[in-house]
Amino acid sequence: MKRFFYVCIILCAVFAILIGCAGRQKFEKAEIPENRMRAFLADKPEELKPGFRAMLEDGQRNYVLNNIQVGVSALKLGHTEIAEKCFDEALKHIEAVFADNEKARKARSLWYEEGMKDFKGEPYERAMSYYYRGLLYMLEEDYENARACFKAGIIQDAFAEENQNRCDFALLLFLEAFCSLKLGDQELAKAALEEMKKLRPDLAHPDTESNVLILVETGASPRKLADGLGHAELKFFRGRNIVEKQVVLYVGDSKIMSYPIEDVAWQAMTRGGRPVDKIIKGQVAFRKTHEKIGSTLTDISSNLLLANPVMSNSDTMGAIGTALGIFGVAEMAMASRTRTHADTRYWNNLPDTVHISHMDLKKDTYKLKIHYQDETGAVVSEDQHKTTLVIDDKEDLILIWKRPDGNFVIK
Amino acid sequence: MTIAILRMMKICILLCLCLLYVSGCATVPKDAAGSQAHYVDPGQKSEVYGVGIDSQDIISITDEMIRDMLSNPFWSDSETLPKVIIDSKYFKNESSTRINKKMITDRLRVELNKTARGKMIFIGREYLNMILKEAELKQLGLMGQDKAMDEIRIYEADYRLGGRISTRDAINPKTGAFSRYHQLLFDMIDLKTGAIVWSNGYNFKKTAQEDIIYR
Repeated sequence: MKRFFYVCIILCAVFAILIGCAGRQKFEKAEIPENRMRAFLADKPEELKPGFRAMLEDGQRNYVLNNIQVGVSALKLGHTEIAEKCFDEALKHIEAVFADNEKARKARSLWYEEGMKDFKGEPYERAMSYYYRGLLYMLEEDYENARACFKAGIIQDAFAEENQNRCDFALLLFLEAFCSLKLGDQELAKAALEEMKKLRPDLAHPDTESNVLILVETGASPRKLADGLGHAELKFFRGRNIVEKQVVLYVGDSKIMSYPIEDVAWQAMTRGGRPVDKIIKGQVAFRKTHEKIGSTLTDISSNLLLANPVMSNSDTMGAIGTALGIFGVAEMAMASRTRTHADTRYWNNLPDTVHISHMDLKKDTYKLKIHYQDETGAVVSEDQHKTTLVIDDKEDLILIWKRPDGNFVIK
Repeated sequence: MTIAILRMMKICILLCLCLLYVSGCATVPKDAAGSQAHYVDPGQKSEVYGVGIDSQDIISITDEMIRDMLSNPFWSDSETLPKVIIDSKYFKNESSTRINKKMITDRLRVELNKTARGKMIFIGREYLNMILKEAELKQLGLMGQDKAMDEIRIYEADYRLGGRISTRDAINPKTGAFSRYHQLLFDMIDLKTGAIVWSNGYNFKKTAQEDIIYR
């Protein structure tokens, strides 16, 4: 009987450990029937199919993330209509207030990782979503909605400025002012430019005559890593292998240094502490406490069981020792079930830096060439595309969005 | 002794059950099965919404403007039927809310047209190109009927809608609370004199707080 009893205890302990050692939470991909997937991908460009496939497989949890990533890829390929749809979908979710949400509740609980929540991005990612949607509105000459996007992005950035309560996203302020100028709203433009001047005093202001705007994005996306005890601390790092630091434009016979208006990685790295960090810290403390209680109880239990044969009331002491042992194992199992890993999902095709140039060109045709330089000013690459700027109406805006891999959108 | 062992076994079983409970065996969320597409009242608050302008706001705004416009007719002195342009051309969005302004001005025009029952004439200035194209075809003599060009008479408008959407945002980064105050102003401009013959505004403020996990 005694033997059966001890076997029972051991089985309980093993069971406890088995369910206790949970490790990282797994997020399953949905199994989409092949015919449904084929139908969904049928009208999508070949290069964007992997992104759209992930969109369907990952479901709501990564819906915003997949949309913003596919949105940028579409923009790079010149599929502006797809990019618009992707950013509209992403912003619809970013703008919806996620209060009293089931997944958010789970992500706050001890037993689920923060990554359980539907991705909405950190403030810098939300602000950049508005930036891209704003650019797409500018391409359509819808400067009012473009300005609304830049303003909304500024608000998202202000959420990250715990101690300042104001935005420091110069790129969005500049574009807000630019749109206001295009709409003839001088007062609104002036207010935004004054804000921007505090952040970038050496950047020349645009005016109503500015008819060319060139945005060049360089470098790799900022990264998120989980650090510290239980991987509970979310840390932001600059992207790897960034060689392009300066952008030089050759417009006709003129050489223009493009102004590095926004350091996206800096925006990510300088956000204040997240309120959710306190919850995760609490989960780590919970884990530590229960681990400690568990290990103390199992220590006492093993000592009691070792001393058991030499004690007069050995049966009772044995039972107490076993009970404490089981309790200790249960505590340890509960501790190890606590999921403290921070959410490290990040927007992987954002740039490191955005460079801006605006100019007022007379009616003519200009050749545009772009050189990318490292910190020392040495040319590391140059634009493979031959771009021609045709200014036939001084009132029209030519907007160029560019990355070193040779893709661009021109209007 | 046997009783003690039985008790211990009971404790073991209870502990195992507790462990199963705390291991958080994935419970199926209530909405796991999703829901079929179904009609909802656009005038009611929807399940998903933010602090921007939603469908129920558009309906409330336009309904109120129409009521006010009809109860204070700016055209009452006019001897002929007033010719009005109601479109989004001079209705500006200076706010931080992305919106298709036509959703407001189109509803305003359509509902006003229905309610005014012929008391005013609405001019579709945005269809001007369509009219000009038709005129071109007539001029080319491709229409079969031998109709003279002077049959095309585009109305001169008496009044045109203008206005502005503006917002004031406030946030508290520490609590994740944010609010947006919307102010929508509508003006009816007399195109001969520039006088604002009718004006009204609609204001609302929405506030929200994200789950802490998203702050």
